[in-house]
Amino acid sequence: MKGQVVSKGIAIGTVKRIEAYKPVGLIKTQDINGALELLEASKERTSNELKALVEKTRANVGDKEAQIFEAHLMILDDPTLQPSIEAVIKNDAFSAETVVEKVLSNMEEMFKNLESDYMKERALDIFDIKKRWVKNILRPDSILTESDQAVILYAEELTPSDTLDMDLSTVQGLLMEKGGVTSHTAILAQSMDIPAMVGCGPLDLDHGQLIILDANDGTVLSNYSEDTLSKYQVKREQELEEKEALKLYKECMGKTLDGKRVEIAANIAGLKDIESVHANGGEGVGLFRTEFVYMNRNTPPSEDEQYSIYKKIVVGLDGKPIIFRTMDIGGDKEVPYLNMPLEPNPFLGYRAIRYCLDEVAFFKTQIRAILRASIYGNLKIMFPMIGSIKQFLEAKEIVQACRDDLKAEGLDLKEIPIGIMIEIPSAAILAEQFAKYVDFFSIGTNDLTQYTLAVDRQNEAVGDLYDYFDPAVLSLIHHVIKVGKKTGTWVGMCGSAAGDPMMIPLLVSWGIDELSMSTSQILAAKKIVCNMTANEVKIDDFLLCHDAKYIRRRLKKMDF
Amino acid sequence: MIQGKVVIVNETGLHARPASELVKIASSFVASVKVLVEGREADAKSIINILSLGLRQSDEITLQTDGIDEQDAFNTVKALIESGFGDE
Repeated sequence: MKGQVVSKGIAIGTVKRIEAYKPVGLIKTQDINGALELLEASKERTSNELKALVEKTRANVGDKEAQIFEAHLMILDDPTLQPSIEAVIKNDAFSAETVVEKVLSNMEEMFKNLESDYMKERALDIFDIKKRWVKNILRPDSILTESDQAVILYAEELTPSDTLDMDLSTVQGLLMEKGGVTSHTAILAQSMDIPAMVGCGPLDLDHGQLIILDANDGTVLSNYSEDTLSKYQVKREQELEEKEALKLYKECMGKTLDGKRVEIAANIAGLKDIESVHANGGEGVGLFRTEFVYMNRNTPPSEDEQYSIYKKIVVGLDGKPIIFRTMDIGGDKEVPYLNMPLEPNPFLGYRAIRYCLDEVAFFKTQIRAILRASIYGNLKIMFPMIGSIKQFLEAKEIVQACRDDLKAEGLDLKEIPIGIMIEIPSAAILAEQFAKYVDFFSIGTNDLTQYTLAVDRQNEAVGDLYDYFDPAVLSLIHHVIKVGKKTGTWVGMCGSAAGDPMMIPLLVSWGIDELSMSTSQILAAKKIVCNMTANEVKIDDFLLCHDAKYIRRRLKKMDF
Repeated sequence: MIQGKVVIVNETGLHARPASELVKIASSFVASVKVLVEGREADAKSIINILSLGLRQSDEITLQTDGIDEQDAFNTVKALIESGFGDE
């Protein structure tokens, strides 16, 4: 079958189909009382979901943020809403879902026509409520509840806002029709450590059907014998036992048999990942993707809101080092309130540091919040998408200006290391020149591979070409690490390659200082590092290989 | 019926959080509580009504209360608006 494995393992569970929101259209009903009852029941369900979201947000983020969802609840319970909805059903005999969609869409339009930007963004709140309410009318059981057991989520694709308020504890695996190796689904599966496949195309699976997802082989079994099912159940047991065995590596440091130190760290997106960092023995956080702080909301987070979240994260790490990557938005991430223009080539466009260097006040808000949080732990700052030394120095100057402002306000800060992501090839090529100015490098292999090989990583048609084992990409990685050694600059890696068991020995042999990966990969990575000797692998032979596949075959035969 | 002018002081106007504060307080009174501005009228017990007014900082509204506890309602709501709803 089509599709890529993004997280290995075996999952056995019932299919839970998650549908994207599609407008309902005009549907009439014969049963007005039935429609009114359905309206009431679905409204209550929606209200309960929102109440749970309020609590969750209050616990994980803060009171002020939770109050925004309380406002959603108020909108739902608004004394003028119910009468207008009931009136439409009685007068026009439309179905419950049609009415909710009609009335709330009108409300959306009204808000969109208001003058202030903030009010226009309320339209997004109404859209959220509409989506949720209609879903509860049409498919009331598609939200995961605690009574669900062992499910495999099946959808076209999953966005961060889809999974934000789901109870994922019973999810055994993920199966997507679209998406690629760096999609949200992939990141989610790796951080939950559950099997997942993406880009599978339309599959003939029924909601509620018991299936076997074999993400080791890359197949899905929907028709199978009792015998096959038992065999898979046994294999699954074995997998779980092996995972237990890996836990031995939780407390140790990343160090080779010959004493070479390699920090094994975690990539995180927010507060909810901290527990997992400690549980999996992460020595620190090599990449904190701060853009998640900007997502799933209708207005930009204030400095205080950001400071509150950043502080919680730094404190939660309890002394372990953390690298904050400044906002990297554009391309694949949806943040409507920034009003970023639709671009034909978002990955080559106005995003990340390019946006921040223009919108200085916006950038300073984040920098100030990070600097204020720095006193609670051990943090570094790095900029994404740096392509020139000039860009880096401009960004660094802004950090210095914020430091000066904070000092004038009475906050005296210790020196904070400032570095860059190496993802644009120009930075990789000129690493030695950059080394004069930066405090450290972190290689972002996802984008580095994309830009070096001119492959859109989200395009399934060229999926095969995207491979960080390509000799050109390896050559750049090798070069950056060597520059690090030569100039005494710390070099880490935070792209997907950092957690790849086939890549790790190579990187360690070249002298990388840190590997930062999804928490589910940390124990296995430590096992590899602690059981190898760091004999340098010469790059020259690899450069003669004709393509990535050839290099992979060679690496499989090598002994570390 | 009691009526009087009040000025919105919040920097970001009457956005979701203060709007919900206003509605909560207004709804705790028996009297009707209305906000009038530029010919439009909104029921202060309806968050949709209030949000749709799109009130911004320094907008002047007419607060109108009518009912058994109208004085109490008027004073409380006016004070709430003038305090800026606890926005920093």
